Amino acid sequence: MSVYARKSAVERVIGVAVLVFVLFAPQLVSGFWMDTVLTQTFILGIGAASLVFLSAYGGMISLAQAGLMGIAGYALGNMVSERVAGGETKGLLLGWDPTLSVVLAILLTVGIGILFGAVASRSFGIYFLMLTLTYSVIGFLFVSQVTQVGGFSPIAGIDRYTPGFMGDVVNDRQRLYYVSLLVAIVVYVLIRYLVRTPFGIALEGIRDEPTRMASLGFNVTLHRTVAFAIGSLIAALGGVLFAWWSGQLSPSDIGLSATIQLLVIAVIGGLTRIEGAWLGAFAYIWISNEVTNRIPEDGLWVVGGTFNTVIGLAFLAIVIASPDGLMGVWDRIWNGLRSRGGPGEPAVAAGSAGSQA
Amino acid sequence: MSRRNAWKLVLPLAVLALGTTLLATSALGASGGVVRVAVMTDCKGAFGGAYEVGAAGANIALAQFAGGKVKNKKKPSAGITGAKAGGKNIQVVGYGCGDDTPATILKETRRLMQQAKADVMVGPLSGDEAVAVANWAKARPTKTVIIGTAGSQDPTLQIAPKNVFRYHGDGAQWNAGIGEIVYKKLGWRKAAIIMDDYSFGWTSGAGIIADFCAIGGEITKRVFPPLNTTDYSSYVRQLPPPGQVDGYFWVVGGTGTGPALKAFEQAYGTIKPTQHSGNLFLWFLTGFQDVAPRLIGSYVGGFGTAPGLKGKAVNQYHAFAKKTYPSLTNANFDDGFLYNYYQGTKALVDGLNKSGGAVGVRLQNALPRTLSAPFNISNGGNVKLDSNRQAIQDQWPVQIVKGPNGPTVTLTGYVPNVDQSFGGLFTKSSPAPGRTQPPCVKKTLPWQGKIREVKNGAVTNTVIK
Amino acid sequence: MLALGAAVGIALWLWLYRTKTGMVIRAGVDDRQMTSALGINIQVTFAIAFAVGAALVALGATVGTSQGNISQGQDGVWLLNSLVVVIIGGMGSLLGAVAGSLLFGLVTAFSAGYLPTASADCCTQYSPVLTFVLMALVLAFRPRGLFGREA
Repeated sequence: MSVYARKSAVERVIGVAVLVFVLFAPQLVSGFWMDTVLTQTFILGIGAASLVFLSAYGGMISLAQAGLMGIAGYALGNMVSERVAGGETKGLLLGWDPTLSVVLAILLTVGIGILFGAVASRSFGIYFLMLTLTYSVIGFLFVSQVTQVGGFSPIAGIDRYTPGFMGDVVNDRQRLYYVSLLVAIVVYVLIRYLVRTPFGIALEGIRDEPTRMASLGFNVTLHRTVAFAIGSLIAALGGVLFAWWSGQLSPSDIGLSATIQLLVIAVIGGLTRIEGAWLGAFAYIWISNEVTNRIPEDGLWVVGGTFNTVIGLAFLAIVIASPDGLMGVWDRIWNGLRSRGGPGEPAVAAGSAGSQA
Repeated sequence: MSRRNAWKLVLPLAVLALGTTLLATSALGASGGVVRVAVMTDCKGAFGGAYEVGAAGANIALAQFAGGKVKNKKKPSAGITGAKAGGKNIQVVGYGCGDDTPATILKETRRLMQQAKADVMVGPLSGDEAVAVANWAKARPTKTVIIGTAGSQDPTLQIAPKNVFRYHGDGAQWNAGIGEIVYKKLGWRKAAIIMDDYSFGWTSGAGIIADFCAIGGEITKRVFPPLNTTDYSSYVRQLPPPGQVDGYFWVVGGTGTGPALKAFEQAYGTIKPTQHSGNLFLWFLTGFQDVAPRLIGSYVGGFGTAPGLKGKAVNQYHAFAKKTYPSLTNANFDDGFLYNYYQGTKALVDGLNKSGGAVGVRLQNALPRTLSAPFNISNGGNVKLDSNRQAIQDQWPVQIVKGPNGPTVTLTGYVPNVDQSFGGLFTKSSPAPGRTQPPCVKKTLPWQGKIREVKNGAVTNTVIK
Repeated sequence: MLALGAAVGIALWLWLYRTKTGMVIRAGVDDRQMTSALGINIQVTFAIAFAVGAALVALGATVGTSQGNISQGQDGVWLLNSLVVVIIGGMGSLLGAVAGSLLFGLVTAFSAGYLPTASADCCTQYSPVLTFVLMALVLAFRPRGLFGREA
C-alpha cells in the first residue's frame, strides 16, 4: 500500500474514533466540558471551516467570516425577541416565529454575503483581505451605533425563543450539543463534496491561476462570488448556533476581536485542510481555558499575567514551527515517511492542499 | 527528514503531549462546606487600571468583616485567606479579568461560575458587562450576583432578576443634584450637553438631563462624539455658541476630556467656569491640566462617594483600609471602584452570617436590605435597597477649586436619598438611556429643594435656593 | 503640521526615487530574487526600509498625539485607519498615500460636521462607518486602490 493510501486509512480510523467519542461524550465528560469546550468547538469550528474553505480552495483569506456569523446571530436576535413586559429591551423586538426567523436570518446573511462577495471578488491578495476586514468593522460599527438594531449592550434572551426541535436550550444543553455536532458533520461533508464537483475544481483553478482560467472562458468574478456566498452560508449556520449557545450577542461578537479569534483558530488548525478548522477550535478553546485557570496569581515569569500573552506565544510557536498549523504537522510526518521510503514512490512536493482533497 | 528540520516536528508534538497530560489531570473537584466567591473586575480595556483597586475593595471588606488575612499587602489580586462567614470558609476562586466587553465577561463568568463553581459573584465592573451578567443570571436563579461598580441602568431596572443586587447608585443617580445646582446657583435655563456616544455616556447624561429638566431647565442640543474620537472639533462645532445657551454639560471621558475642552476653546474662546459643568469625568483633572485652572469654580457631578467628608464612619473606614493595604491612599479608598466593591462584599458577609453560610435563594433572601455605608448620612448612615434590589444612595456633587498643588475637587452639595427611578421618570418599561432617552420634562423629584450645602467636608443646614 | 507632512512626503519621495538605496528598495519590491542575484544584500535593504517606516510612524505618532490624545487600545484604532488609507490610496504608491490620507481625513472631519442631524437619532452615528464605506466604494470600482499597482 502506498504511503498516501496508508495515510488516508489512518485518518479514516482516527476520524471514526473521534466521531464515536463525541457521540458519547455527554456521558463521558463533565457538563462544563460538554457545554463550554466541545459545543463551542463545533460552533467555532463551523465558523473557521468557512474561512478555511475560502482560503484553501478559493485562495481567498476572508476576514469577514466572524462578522457574518455575528450578523446572522444579530438578525436572529432582532427577529426573535418580543416586546413583552420584563423581557428584552434591545433590538427591533419583532417577535417572529423562531423557525421562520432562523431561515430568514440565514437568508439575510447569505444575501449580505453575496453583496460583500460581489464587491470584493475583483480584488486579490491583500486587497481582498483588507476589504473583508472592513466588512467586519462596518458590521461592528453598524450594530453598535445604530441602537435600534442593538447598541453597545448585548441583545439577550435569544436562547429563550428556539424552534420546537431545539427544546429548552437554557436548561437542556445536550440537545444543543447534538444539533451542533450534526451541523458540523453536515458542513464538513458538504465541503468535501463541493470540492469534487466541477465548481470546486474550477475554484481551485481560479485560486492558482486566475488569468489563465479567465482566458479559458471561466467567469472568475462569478465563481469567487458564489464561493463567498457558500462561505457566508456556513458562517450563518455557525452564527445561529452561537446565538443559541451564548444566548446573548454584543458588538464584540462581530468586530475585530472576534475576527482575530477566528483567524487564530484557522491558522492554528491549518489553513490548508478543512479538518484543521475543528482541530484549531479545540486547541484554542482548550488552551485559553486551561491557561486562564492555571496562570498563577502573580502572573507568569517575564510575560506577566494575561492569558492573551500565552495564547499569542503558543500561536507564534505553532506558526513558526509549522506555517500550515497543526494539520500541517500531521501532513509533514507523512511526507517525511514518503520521501524516505516506499519503492517507486514519486517525490511529491509537500503539503499542497489540492492533492489531499 | 533531516535533523535540522526535526525540531519543527518535535516542538508542536511536545506542546501536544504536554497538553494531553494537562488535559488528563485537569480535574475540577467540588467540595462542600465552602462558599465560593468570584470577584469580577476589568484587567484590560478602558478600565484595566481598576483591577487591583477592585480586588482591594473586596479584600478589605473580607478582612474587616470576615476575619480574612490578605496574602500580599502590595498586591490585592494575590488574594486573601482565612475569611469565614456564617460558619463556612469563604474561598475566592478567582479575580476575573474583563475588558469592558460583554463577550469577554461572559467567558470569564462561565469560567468562574460554571467551571470553578463559584456561588456568588461580586462584580462586574462596567455597564455593558453588567447587562450581560444580569441576563446570564436571570437564567440561573441559584447563583447570586452583587454588582461591583457598574453604572448601567438595565441590570436593576429593566432586567432586574431576583438574584442581582446593587449596593450603589447607577450612572444616572451619580449625577443627581448637579442640574438643580447649576439652575439655582448659576441661573442656567438653557443648556447643551455633549456626551460620549456610548452606553455609559448616555446613562450619565441621562442623570444630568433628568435633573436639569425636572426643575425647569431646557436641554436645547445633544451632541454625541463616538468613542475613540481624537479630533473633537467637528463635534464641538455642533454645539450652540455661548450666546445661545447658558451653559454646557460635558460627559466626555477617558482621554477625550482634555482634547474636547481644548477644541471648545479653539472654537469659542476661553472657557468660563460658570458656563461649564459635567459628570465625574471632570474629576480627573490631571488629564487636562492646561484647561483645569480655567475650570476653577465649576460644579461637577458625583460618584456616590464623598472625598473629604468628615465623620467617624469615614475615619474608621480609612483607618482599617490603610492598615490592610498601606500602599494605597485615601484617594484610592474614596474611589468608587474600591468603595463599591467594599460595600458589595460587606453585604455578602452580612448575608452569609444571616443565612448560616447557605447560598442560592436562601442567601438572596438573607442579603441585607439596609447596609451601613461610610459615605451615606441619611437613614442613620445606611443605604437602603428598593424593590428591585437597587440602592437608594446619597449623592455628593463637587466643585473644582484651587488647591495647594493645583486645581482639585471639593464637596459642595449633599443630595439625600437618590433613587434609581428619578421620581418615576425611569420605569421598568421605559427604554434604557440613549440618544433621545430621557426626554426633557419638568417633574418633581424626591430630592428637589432638599439639596444642602457642604462646606469643608461638613454638611450645613443651608438648603440651596 | 501641514508643512511637516509635506516636507516629510517630499523627503521620502526624494529618498526613494533619487538615491541609490531607494532604487535598490524599489528593485527589490519588483523582483526580489533578481536583485539578490545581482549581489545586493536584500535582507539588509528591506530591514533599512522597515526601519525608515518605523521612524515615519514614530514621527506621525508623536506629532499626532501631541495634538490629540492617546490611551491604551489606541493602536487598534490607528491600525485600522492606516490600513484604510493604504488601501484607498493603493499599495506601492506615494501619491496614493497622499491621496488616501487626504480623502480619509476629509471624510472623517466633514462627515462628523455635515451629516444631517435631522433628529437626535439620525445620522451622526453613521460618521464612523463612512470612512469604511468609502474604502469599499473605492475598491468596488478600482480593485487595487486609486493609484495601486499589481498586488
